[in-house]
Amino acid sequence: MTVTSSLQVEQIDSYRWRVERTGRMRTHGLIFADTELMHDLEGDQCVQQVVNVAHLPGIVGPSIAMPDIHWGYGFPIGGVAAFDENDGVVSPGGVGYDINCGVRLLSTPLTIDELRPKLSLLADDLYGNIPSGVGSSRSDLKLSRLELDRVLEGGAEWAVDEGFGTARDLECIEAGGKLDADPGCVSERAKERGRNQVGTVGSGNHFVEVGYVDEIYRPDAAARLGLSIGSVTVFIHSGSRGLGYQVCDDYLDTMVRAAAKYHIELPDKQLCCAPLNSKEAMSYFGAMNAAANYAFANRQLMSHYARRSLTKVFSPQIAGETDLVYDVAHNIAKFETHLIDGRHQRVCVHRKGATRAFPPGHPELTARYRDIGQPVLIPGDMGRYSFVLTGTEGAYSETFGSTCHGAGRRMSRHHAKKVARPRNIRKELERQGILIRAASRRTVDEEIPEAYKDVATVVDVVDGAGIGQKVARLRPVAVVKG
Amino acid sequence: MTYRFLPHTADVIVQIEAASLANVFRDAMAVVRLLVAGDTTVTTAQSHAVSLTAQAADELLLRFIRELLTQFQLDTFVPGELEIRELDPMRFEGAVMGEPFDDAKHDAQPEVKAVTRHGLSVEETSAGWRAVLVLDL
Repeated sequence: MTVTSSLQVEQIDSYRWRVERTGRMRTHGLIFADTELMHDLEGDQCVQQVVNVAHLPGIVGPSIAMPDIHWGYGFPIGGVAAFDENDGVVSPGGVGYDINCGVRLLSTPLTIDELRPKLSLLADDLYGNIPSGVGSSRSDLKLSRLELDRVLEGGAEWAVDEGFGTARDLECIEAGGKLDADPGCVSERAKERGRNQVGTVGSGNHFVEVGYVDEIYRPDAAARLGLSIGSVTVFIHSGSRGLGYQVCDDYLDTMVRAAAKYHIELPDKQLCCAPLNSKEAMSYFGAMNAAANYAFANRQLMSHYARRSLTKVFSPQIAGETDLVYDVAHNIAKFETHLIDGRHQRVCVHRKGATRAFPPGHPELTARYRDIGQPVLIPGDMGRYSFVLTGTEGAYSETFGSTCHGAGRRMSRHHAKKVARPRNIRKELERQGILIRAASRRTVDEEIPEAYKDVATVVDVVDGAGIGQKVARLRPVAVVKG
Repeated sequence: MTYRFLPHTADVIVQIEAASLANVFRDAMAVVRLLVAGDTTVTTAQSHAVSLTAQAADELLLRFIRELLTQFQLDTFVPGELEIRELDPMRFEGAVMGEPFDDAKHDAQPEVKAVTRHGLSVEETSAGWRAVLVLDL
C-alpha cells in the first residue's frame, strides 16, 4: 500500500503496518492501525513524520505510531520512540508544547439516575469552579515565585500537602505525580506564564467531563477501579498550560543550537535534539519535569474543585467517596528500563500523544493495581464515548509499554468549523442528553464529534493488537470546555 | 490580505505571499489577530515595543510571532497595527499597537499554543516574499 508517493508501507497483519527502512533511516517504522484507519492517513504527512523520527541518533526499536496517529509537528501525534541512554537523544519536539498533557478519571459513588435531576446544577458549578478558555486564570490562586517553585518541585504532592486532595490520590498518579525536576532550569517568562494558571483547564480539546459507565468488558478489573454499570465518573484532560508551552519554546531554541553543535542531521528542524548525556539534555529534563509536575498539580487542583462542586450540589460524603481512578501523561519523555533483544536496557521513551500502559506486575504500579495492570484512560469526542483500558505484556514487549491516547482528529479545524457553522452543536448535543458549558462557541464547533475518528475503532485496534485491554466504556453527560 | 490557510488535520498552516518582508510581518500579525480574537477591529490604545534579532528571516519571523502570542497569553493583548522602524532578515525594531481582549467585541478562539519550526520557511521570490508557518493549537 502506498500512503504517499515515496513511502512504501506493508501490511504485517490486521493491526500492524511496517514502513520500510530507506535512505538514512536508522530503523523501520511500525504503525498500529486497521485498514480503515490506515486509509484515513493517505495524503497526510504523519507517516512521513514516523519516517523522520526514525532518522534520529540512538533510536532503539522501531519508530512507532499508535492508531490515533495524526499529523503533528516534528513527531507525529500518536508517536512513540525510545533512545539508548548512551547514544540517544532527547527532543522537545518528541514531547510537544503541552508537556505532560494528560488525563485523569475520578469515580463517584453516584449513579446516573441519582445524577440526572441535578446534572445541570453540577455542570454550571463545575464551569464556575474550574476556569476554562484561552489564558484562563484563577483569581483565587496566584502563586508567589517561591510557591510556584514548590509546585514545580512537588507536583501533585505539593497540592496534597496544601490540602487539595489525599495521599491516596498520589498512589493513583503516574510516577506518584512528581518527577525529578529543577525549577532553576525554567525561565522567568515561563514562570510568569504559570503563576495564575494552575487549576485551570485551558482551551482546545481540553475538558472536564461528567459521564457514566455504560459497558463493562472486564468485571474484575472494573470493580478494582471502582467502576460499575451506571456509576458516575469525572474525566479531566489538561496539561501544563502556558508554562509548559514556554518551556518547550525555550528549549527548542537550545536544541537547535545543540543539534548544530553535536552535528546531528535533522530531517525536520522541529526534531531538534541533544545527546542524552549532554548538559543541554540535562537542563531540558530539569525543566520538562518541572512543567510535568505543574501539570500533575494542575489536574490535582481541578480534581479538588470537582470534589468541591460535588459537595455543593450533592454532599460532602459524595465528594469524600469520590476516588481518583488514575492520572496518566500522554506528552512526556522518561527514562525507563525495557527488555530489548533479551536484555534489560535503560532507554529514554518519548510519548507524544501516547499513553504509558505498563503490564500487571510492573514494580512502578501501585499495589492497588499491580495484579490488573496500569489503568489507561482514552478519551473520545464529546458526543460519543471514552474508554478505560489496562496495560499489557504486549505493550511492554512491543511498544515500550505504550498505547494510544485518544480518538485522533480526522477533520481539520477549518473544515470542522465550516461543517458546524449552520448548526447549533450545543443544542444537538443537549438533545442527546449531553450538556455543554463552554467559554467559546468556536471551540465547540472545532470539537464536533465527527471531527474525530471513532475512538471505539482506535481502542479495538490496540485491544486486538494486544497493546491495551478494554475494561469499560463511559458515556458523557456534561462537558466543560474552553 | 495575502495570506491563506492550507489544510492540516490538527493544527494551522499559513502561507503568506507579500511584496516585501515588512508586509510578511504585517500579515503574520494579522494572522495572529485572527487566531486569538477572530475577524475583528482592534484599537491602538496600547503599544508594546518589540526588538528582535535572529540568524535568518525564518527565525526572526518565528520570534516575532512568539512575542505576539506571549503578549496575548500574559496580558490578553490583541495586536492591531504594526509600526516597523527597522527590518532586515536578521533584525526587527518596532512596536505593536493594540488593546486588551474584550469579550464584548472580540471573538474568543481556541488557544494557540505556539508557532513551530515544522515546515517553517521565509524566502525571497521573484514576486517578493513567501513564508510558511505551522501553529500548534
